[in-house]
Amino acid sequence: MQRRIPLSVEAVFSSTGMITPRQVMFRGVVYAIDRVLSVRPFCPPDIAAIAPLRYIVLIGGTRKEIYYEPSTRTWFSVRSDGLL
Amino acid sequence: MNPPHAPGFPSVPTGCSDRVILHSDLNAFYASVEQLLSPSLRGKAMAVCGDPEARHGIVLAKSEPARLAGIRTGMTVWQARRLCPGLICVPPRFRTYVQFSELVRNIYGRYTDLIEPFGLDECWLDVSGSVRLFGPGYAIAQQIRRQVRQELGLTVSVGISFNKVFAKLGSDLHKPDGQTLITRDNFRRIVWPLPVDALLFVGQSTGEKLRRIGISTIGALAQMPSGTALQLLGKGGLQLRDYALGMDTAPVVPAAEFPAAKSISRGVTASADLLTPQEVLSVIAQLTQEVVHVMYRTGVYAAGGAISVRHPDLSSRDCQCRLPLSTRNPRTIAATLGELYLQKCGILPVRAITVRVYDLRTSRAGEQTSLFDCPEEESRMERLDSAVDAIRTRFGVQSLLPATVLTNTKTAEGHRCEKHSAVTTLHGNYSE
Ligand SMILES: [Mg+2]
Repeated sequence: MQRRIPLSVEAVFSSTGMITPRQVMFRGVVYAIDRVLSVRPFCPPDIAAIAPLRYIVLIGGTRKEIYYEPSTRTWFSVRSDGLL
Repeated sequence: MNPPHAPGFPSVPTGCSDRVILHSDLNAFYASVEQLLSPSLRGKAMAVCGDPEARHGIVLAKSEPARLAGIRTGMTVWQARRLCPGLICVPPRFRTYVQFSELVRNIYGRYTDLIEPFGLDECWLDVSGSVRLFGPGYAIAQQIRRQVRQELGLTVSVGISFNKVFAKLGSDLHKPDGQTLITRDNFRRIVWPLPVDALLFVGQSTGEKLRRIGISTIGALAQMPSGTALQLLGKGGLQLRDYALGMDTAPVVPAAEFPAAKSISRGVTASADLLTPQEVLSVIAQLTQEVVHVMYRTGVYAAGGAISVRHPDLSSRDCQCRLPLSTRNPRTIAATLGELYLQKCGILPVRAITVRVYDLRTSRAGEQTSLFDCPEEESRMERLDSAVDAIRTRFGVQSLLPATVLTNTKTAEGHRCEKHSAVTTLHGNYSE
């Protein structure tokens, strides 16, 4: 069963309304985001969320997926083991 | 030899190419949203029920397992529980449904701006102008279905045809998450064998009239002599026969503003005549509280208000007015309508009162606020009202009332008074 893992994210809001995450705080550790590879609306299966945006990002050379839910202005990741 | 090209006339006749109309229908909409937002409900027999604690609450939507257990929309909670003892009933969250409805329409908006909503969960789309860009109607339907599923986690069924009536019919044929193409070439094969009441606008009583004279399929309706159609159903009968023949030229009319509801009303017949203006004003305040509760649930503001009063001799009077701003502040609405009563219809005694709001909108964006309004105060009151509303949603409208209406013994709950309520949509009424 997948679950929604809340994240703290530091992001840049551009003048045109683009949101670009820069770093993720998870369990007291800060992970720098090297690059955003893609952004698109995508609701992961089995997750309770309203129209989230999926950001595929590079963290320490690894692809990770993090999600932003506009209606609640919250970030989350989806993992069954609870790890980022 | 080709005839010479006449100047002023296009060489290819225009206006002959068929329209491409889609009808997109969210599957088990309210139930699907609830399952999306509460994954523990997924795969279970569940239903969204108006007032699930009350016996008279009705099923508004049900999950697939509930449907297989025989649960139908419109059943009372009591009937449904008897059929399916384990049925999980959850209360509706209209604001969330409106939110999803808008999100789905945003996806439709990628393909056309000709979008005509039909309730919260259905829309017609005229994509005739988009086929060069996005491919034929069938391909657009596939893209829409995929995007709704992937981006929102909901499913839609889509009908694709050359008119609205057949498009609507097509969206009913493959559920959930399916699509059906109905063309001029195949409609006799696909549409005509279907029962006559599968056709839009053939209601229960029309269906029965037709079946009584042996017309049980859409094909039989199509081949009915016009004299018989006219005699049996009047002019509407000819219209229905045209629909069965694929002759429907009604355009897709985009709704300028979103809300499905046109007006919301609450009325009460007092257990004894109201004898003073104070009593009347107090009942108006009470009814306004209930109307505002529905406004919060459906996420709308109103720009117009109306009251109608009935006197013991059964004479009645209606009057309406603009509200100062589009609002759902119960004090503003009650004060405006109270004033209206005193000025326009202040005759006593009064037996029954109905409060109605109309000209509903989902947002107040772009609205000119008056010079003397205080937006901060207004938004503070709105927060208070929405907190009040949250309590009422959990514990009932009567759980929290302003002190001014507590004296309304002639219209209080549990007394011998009759209440009635209605939400009027673009497509008819439903009582709450
Ligand atoms: Mg539907």
